Parts: sequence; C-alpha cells; structure tokens
Amino acid sequence: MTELKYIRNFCIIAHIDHGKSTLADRLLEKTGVMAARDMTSQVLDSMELERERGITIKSKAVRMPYTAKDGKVYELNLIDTPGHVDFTYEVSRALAACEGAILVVDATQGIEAQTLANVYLALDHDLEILPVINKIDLPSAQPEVVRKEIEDEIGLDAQDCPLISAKMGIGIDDVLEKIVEVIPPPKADASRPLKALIFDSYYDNYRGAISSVRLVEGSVRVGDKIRMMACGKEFDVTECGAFLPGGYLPTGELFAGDVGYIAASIKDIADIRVGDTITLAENPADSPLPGYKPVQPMVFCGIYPADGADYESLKDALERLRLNDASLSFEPETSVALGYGFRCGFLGLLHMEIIQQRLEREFDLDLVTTAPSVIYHVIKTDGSMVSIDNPTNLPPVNEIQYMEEPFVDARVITPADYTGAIMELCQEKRGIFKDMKYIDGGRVSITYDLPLNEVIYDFFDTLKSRTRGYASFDYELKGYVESDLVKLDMLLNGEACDALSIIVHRDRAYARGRSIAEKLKDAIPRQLFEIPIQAAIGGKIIARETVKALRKDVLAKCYGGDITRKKKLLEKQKEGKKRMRQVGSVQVPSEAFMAVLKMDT
Amino acid sequence: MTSLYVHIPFCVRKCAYCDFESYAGRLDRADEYILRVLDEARSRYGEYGVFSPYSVYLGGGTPSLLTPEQLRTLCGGLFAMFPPAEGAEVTLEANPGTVTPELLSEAARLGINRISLGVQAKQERLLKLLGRIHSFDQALQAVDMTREAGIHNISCDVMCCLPDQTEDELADTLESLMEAGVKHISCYSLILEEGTRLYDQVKSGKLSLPGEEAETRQLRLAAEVLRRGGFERYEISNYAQRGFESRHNMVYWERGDYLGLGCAAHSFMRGERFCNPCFDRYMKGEDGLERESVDTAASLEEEILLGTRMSRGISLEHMRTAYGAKALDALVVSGKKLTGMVVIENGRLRLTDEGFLVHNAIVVELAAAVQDAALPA
Repeated sequence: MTELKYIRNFCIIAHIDHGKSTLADRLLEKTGVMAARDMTSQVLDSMELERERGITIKSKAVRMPYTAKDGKVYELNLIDTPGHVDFTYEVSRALAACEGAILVVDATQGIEAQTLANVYLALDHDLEILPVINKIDLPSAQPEVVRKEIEDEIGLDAQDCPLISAKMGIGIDDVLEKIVEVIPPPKADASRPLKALIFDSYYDNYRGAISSVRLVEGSVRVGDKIRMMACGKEFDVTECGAFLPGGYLPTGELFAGDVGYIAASIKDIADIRVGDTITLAENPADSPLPGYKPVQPMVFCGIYPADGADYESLKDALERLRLNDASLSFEPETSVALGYGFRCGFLGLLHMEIIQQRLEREFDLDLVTTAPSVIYHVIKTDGSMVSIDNPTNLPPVNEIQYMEEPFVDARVITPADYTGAIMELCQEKRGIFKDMKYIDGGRVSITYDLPLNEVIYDFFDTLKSRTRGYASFDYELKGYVESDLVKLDMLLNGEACDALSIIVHRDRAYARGRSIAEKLKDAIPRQLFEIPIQAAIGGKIIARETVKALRKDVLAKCYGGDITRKKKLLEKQKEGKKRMRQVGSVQVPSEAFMAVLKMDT
Repeated sequence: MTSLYVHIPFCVRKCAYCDFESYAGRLDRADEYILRVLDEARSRYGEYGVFSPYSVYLGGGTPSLLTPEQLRTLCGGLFAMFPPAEGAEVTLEANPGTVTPELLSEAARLGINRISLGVQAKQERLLKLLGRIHSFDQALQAVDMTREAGIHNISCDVMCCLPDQTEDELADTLESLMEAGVKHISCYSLILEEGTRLYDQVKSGKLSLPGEEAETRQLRLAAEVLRRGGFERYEISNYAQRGFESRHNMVYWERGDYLGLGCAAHSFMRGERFCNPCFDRYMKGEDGLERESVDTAASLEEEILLGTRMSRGISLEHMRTAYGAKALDALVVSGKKLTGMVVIENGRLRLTDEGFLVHNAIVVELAAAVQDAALPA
C-alpha cells in the first residue's frame, strides 16, 4: 500500500473547450501511464460522442505514479468530471472523492459561467483549488489579465499558478509538482471499519456491476464480504483495484485514501446506489458517510420508436443506458399519435440530446421525440397540487385554480459588446433582471431569473448565435412561481394531436402557435386531401396554415411488361408511408414532431 | 390465355429520355440476335408447351429497323411454334423514320395487324429535344403508308409534360393525329430516368420541367381533347376508339400470362415474374437474374396497382373470391374515403380522372388498408 502522504486525489474543472481533456492526456503521458503514440486524442473521453462534442459526460478515474522532485513516488488519482451544467450532479459526486481540484482557465477566454459554477461546487466540498492558465501558446493569450481575473473574481492566489499549453506540452511538469505541493493528502484511517463512498457505477459485461469508490476509512480486499449500507445487500468481492485509462489495474486490496473500483459479481446495477457507503459485513461501520441528494430530472420528453415494432428494442436500450447513467429516468407512456413509448427525464437539454444520440447511434434506433417539457405545478380548485411533466395530463381547465412553473437563476458571462443583445434575449424569454457587473478584460456578468421552459426551448442556440459564441451560460433551479400558463394544442384536419401539445405562457402562445403551424406545414408532405393545420388554446384557434392537396403523382409511362419496376417504386412509397404516423386522417412524418423543437429564425 | 412479347433492342440512335434496353450501332448483329431469340423460343416451347398467343407484341428498341427478310425469319420461326390465336392482336412497334412500304407489306403478309408508331410530338423543337430521328411529316406519311399496306389498326405514342411544352402544342399534336385517322393513342408523361441525356440536362439546369401545376393541366387537357375526338380513356395513359383498345396492353393490367422473348424481356408465367439478361449476356445464352414468385400478398398488391390503372377498375367479386371478404371490405372502406377520386359502382372499384392524377398515392393507401386486413400482423 502507498502511504497516505504520497496519495493525491484530484479532479480537473474547466469550462468547455478550455482544455481539460488535453491536460488530462498530457498528465497521463508525462507520468508514463500512456505513451504518446498510444493515445488517440483525449483518452478519458472514451465515448465517441464525448470526443466528438469535446465534452465529458461520465466521470472517470485513473491512477498515475509520479516521481516528484523530492525523489518520492506519489500515487496521483485523477477523477475526470463533466464540465457542463447539466452534469453538475456528476461533478459533485466526483468532487466528494477528491481533496483538490485543478482549475483550468483559457488564457484567451478568461473565466466563464461554468468555471464559476464549478469553482463554487469545489469550494462547497472544501477542495484545495490549483489554478492553471492554459493555451499560453496562442497569440491572443493574455495570461496576466486572466491571472488578475482569477484573483479578483474567485479570490484565489494565482501568483504562482502554472502557465501552460496542454496542447504543446508546455508547463506540465510544473502542474505535476504543484499537485504534490498544493493538494493535501487524504486524511484517512485504514485501521477503522471500512467506509467506501460510491461515487459512480458502471456495468461491465465480464465483471458485472462495478462501483467506483473512494475509501474514507478502513480497507477492503478480494474475498471480503461487503455490505451496501443503504439497501443492506451483501456481496463477495471478486476483484478490486485502481483504474487505468480504458481499463482496470487489479491490486487485490484498497486502503483508506485510495480511489478505485470494487467488483463483486453484482448482477443488478440497482444494487449499487451512487452515494451509498460500502462497509464490511464482518466488521461494519456504525454509520454511513453523508450521501448525495438523489438526482432530480428537470427536463422531460416522450421518446417513441419511429417503427412501433422497435418498442422492445427501445426499452432494452434505455435500460442499458440507465446502467451507467443513474440520472436517466423513464417510464412507459402511450400517445394517440405515436403509440407506445417512454416518458424520459433528463438533467437538462444537453443530457437529453446526448441520450437521444446514443440511442440512435449505439443502438441503431430511429426515434420520434416530443417537445421537451419541465415539471409544472397545477393547483386545483380543491386545493390539491399535481405535478405535470406531460401536457396531455393537464387537468381540465375548470379544475385548475392556477399553475406554477420552475424558474432558474441564470448567469451569462459575455464580452461587454453583447450586453444589449443578451438583455434583449432574456427579456424576450420573460426573464427578470437581477444583476450586472463588470469583470476585467471588458467582460460582463449578467444574472437573470428565467423560466426554465424558455431556457429549454431555444435559449442556448439563440444565445450562441446572437453573441457569435462568445457568451457562456449557466443556471440552477431556483423555485416555482405562479404563472399564466396555457396548453397549446395543434389540430391536424380538425383533430388535436396529443404529441404536439405544449404548455406555454399565454403571452408567448400566439407566436409559438404560429411558428409551429408554419413548421408543420413544411414538414407534412402533401396528401390526397388538403390538410388544415391549426393552433388552438382551449377552443380558440389562434393560427392556421394549410397543406395543399397532392396534384400529380402518377407513372403515366410505358414500362411494357416490366411490372417489377412499378412495384419497386410503389415499395419505396410504402416505405415512406411506414415512417409516417397516422393522426386522424393525416399522415405525419416523424420529423414533423421535432418541428416544435426547432428554433425560431 | 397467354401473350407473347419479343424485344428488338436495336435503334438508329438512343432517344434523350430512353432508359430501355436499346442500342444504336449494333444492327450488324441482328441476324445473330434473331437466331438467338428463336433458340430461346424453342427452349420456352419445351418448358411451357405449345400455346396460341392471344396477342403478340414486337417491341423495342426499334423493330421496324429489321429488314423484311429478318422480320420474315423472326415471325416465321416464332409463329411456327406459337401460332397466334384466331383474332389475335399482333403489333409491330415502328419508328416513323425507319418504316418502309416493303417492310409494312411484309408485316401485313406475316399476320401483323397493328402498328404502333412512336410519334411523340408534332413540334420540331420538341422532337429535337427528345432526340427523335424523324419529323412530324414523316409520322403522317408513316400513317398513310401503313394504311396502304392494309393495316388499319394504327396506334401512336405521344409525350406530354416535356420541357417548355405548352398546352396548345400538346392539344395540336393529339388533334392532328386523330385527324390523320389513327385508332389508338398512348399519351405518356415524361418520367426522367437517371442515366438519360434529358435527366442530365434537367439536373444541370439547362432544361426545366413544366412543374406540377402545368403538368396536371396537361394531363387533364389530354383526356379532354382525346375524349372530344371520340377516344375513350381505358387506362391511365391509353385512349382508343371503341373496339380498338389494345389487347396486349390489357394483359399487363389484367395480370394475364405473357412470355417475353429477347434480351431484357419481362415475363409473367404461371405466377412467376422473371426477366431476361441484357444484350451481351443474353447473346451468350445466360439466364436472367431476377425471378419473383408472386405470393398471395404480392398478387393482392399487384391487383390494386395494376387494376386501378384501368378505367373499368377492379372487380369486387374477383377480390372477394381470390382474397376473402375481409380484404374486400377493407378495400371498399378505404376506397369510399377517397371521395371524388375513387368510385365504387356496378360491382367494381375504379379511379376517376382526378384519381388517375394521384394514382400512386391512392394505390399506397388502398394497398396498405387491404394488406392490414388480409394479413393480420
């Protein structure tokens, strides 16, 4: 075992694109865990989607041996954390397993909204923070300005902070030395009964469900009988050890202060509850470690198979994804228009997008998704309250006394030039201005209270386009506020289509209704009859478009006796029809249901 | 009752819209080809036994490119094995630019009693655009020549929905042909096929199609002009004076048996569809690739796809006996929803002129409804 004073458990926190993964790669390379030639870029982001989008979704850990200038060999455990606001929950789990955090700040961009959010989280967990200024090789780098920003905005001493270029490999040794110097070793007692905090779980086809753990007290070895303190279930440890990039390093035992994994032939991932404490059955700890708050999904949408026959495959795929993503929730629901599918809950919009893409890519499923919704509180006339995450379940209007919607605390950091554009956007989104202050480097931090249902609609995209990508955005749930909400229905040929209904603020209903009707008009192909498309609140029509009837669709050609050719053409048309949903008398293509999600131009 | 089709793949030049199996500049192999077709006929004769075709169609390509001697060899050999039935319709497809009085009188002597002329359009500009080798005057001369040879059952092919074609031009073409005394007119709308010159010209923007509205007007106009001239529409693109409807055409839509001889020829024999290979492989005596045995589900679909092309439509009684009461009910229920496009009367389901315009969409609709009923999942 490594003596505690030679162990350093840390994570890296950064705004997206500030170079977190590249720095992690360099640390792996410098400590010899991975040779440069073996590395595809960004080893820790092993999911295809993670690499492609430059984000980390799952927290991961890896152990690196490092011989410091004092001649001693240190065990560095790097726990990778997601950077995006949607995954704050995962971040906070990872932070609980660390004593310190490297804060990476881009020398050309400075502090961003997510940097602050992550720093506050780290401070909440009493972590020692080691600031690092990255990308100093770029011509537009302003390390001194950024150094001052870190000192002024975060209040950290940045005088000695390493100036690095993870990309060019500059300053990496300095970072490693600083980790040893600044980040404290774990305080732990291996002689006490085992207390291991589960900060993540995975499913491995060969080992079963695996817990990622931080041992706070005691030790564990292969053959020990462990007990999950919350659920009381017991298992025999079959393997334990440290993490390597993309793999495992079985060590046979783990001690207080270590970060590693425990496999115990656990078949059901549900038996490993993230936040639970593992102890030994023989010599149990008297109380568990403080756990995590269970995660609360904030955004919901319906996910349906494009082909109804794929329902079971979709169910299997969702179950497989949930094995490694406890924050994904789903339950069966049915829609008149879409048939059998699932109501899924997500941490946020990005999380939703990622799940959809993983279902499509990794499981090769064709999906139809409905417009995202938040949870609304409906206070009924009898005084009772119901939570609604699907517009279809809204009680009749005469039973509703009033409704409440969730608001978030939103922070935007932007170059000062875009202040006007951003305030205009927040205003349009029914935002309530809270505060604005100037940061060094000509930038502004703006805070607003925003309704979450506007944020999930097209806020990110609009913000990006109006600030040419320069503004950063972060939010956290604030609470519920009474609001004048209405249910907006879309009628196709006079029949309401449940999958297209949304709950929206009355002031925004007309614009949304018009825009959805226009998009549906473009998305629905012409059919044998004219199709009126209407947007309605209650019985009142507020917008109308028409899909004209098909005029000419005929093979007035001589193919002689070649009937096969005609049949093939028919086959193609039938395939097209198969991909459509029947809503009353109207055929609606899957894409049309997505039309309601698209941003206004 | 079985019909016979013979494919003659030779052409003077390839037309700009054509994607059929046809070759310019291979006429030197015509003798060899005819022998190969007779060879095939012999082997089919062994397979299916003797039959007297209800109709015969010599199509192409350009069968009128054959010399009178070649035509005699072909028909002589063919009819020795498969003598046309009493009153059979025997058609020769002809290009107005290649017919000669000699060929036509030989044809009449051999028992050919119907000529189908590829006229396509009256206007020089359109003929050029299509890559035709003849003028409209030549077409009219061919009509006269055919009659002089003693063949009075004359059909002409006309095209509509061509780039820059006007409604007046289309009407003029149709009226001039009726005036010339032809008995049957097929009016096809241009379908762009990949790999043709016209396709490339349209895709590259050099030419543009009239657009859906104008095309719809042209198709309506054709039906109207022809009807005024006493031509009844008996199929989506076929019009004839009473009694001159093409038997051979109807065999395709009625799903009768037909044996196709020659390269790339299609057959439907005893519930099986198959196709001969293209020229080079055919000449080597190789077999075709695609063979489809039409099962109940597929034949039900074919009935709808093909039956609705005919003005008289589908017999409901036939649907009931062949596919059951459930399939019939579904067909009727789904048909009744298509007001103005589908008519159900006198024991038949048929499409109206408006229905013909969207035939594909209607077939998909009806086929889906019937299939769900006939073959519960």
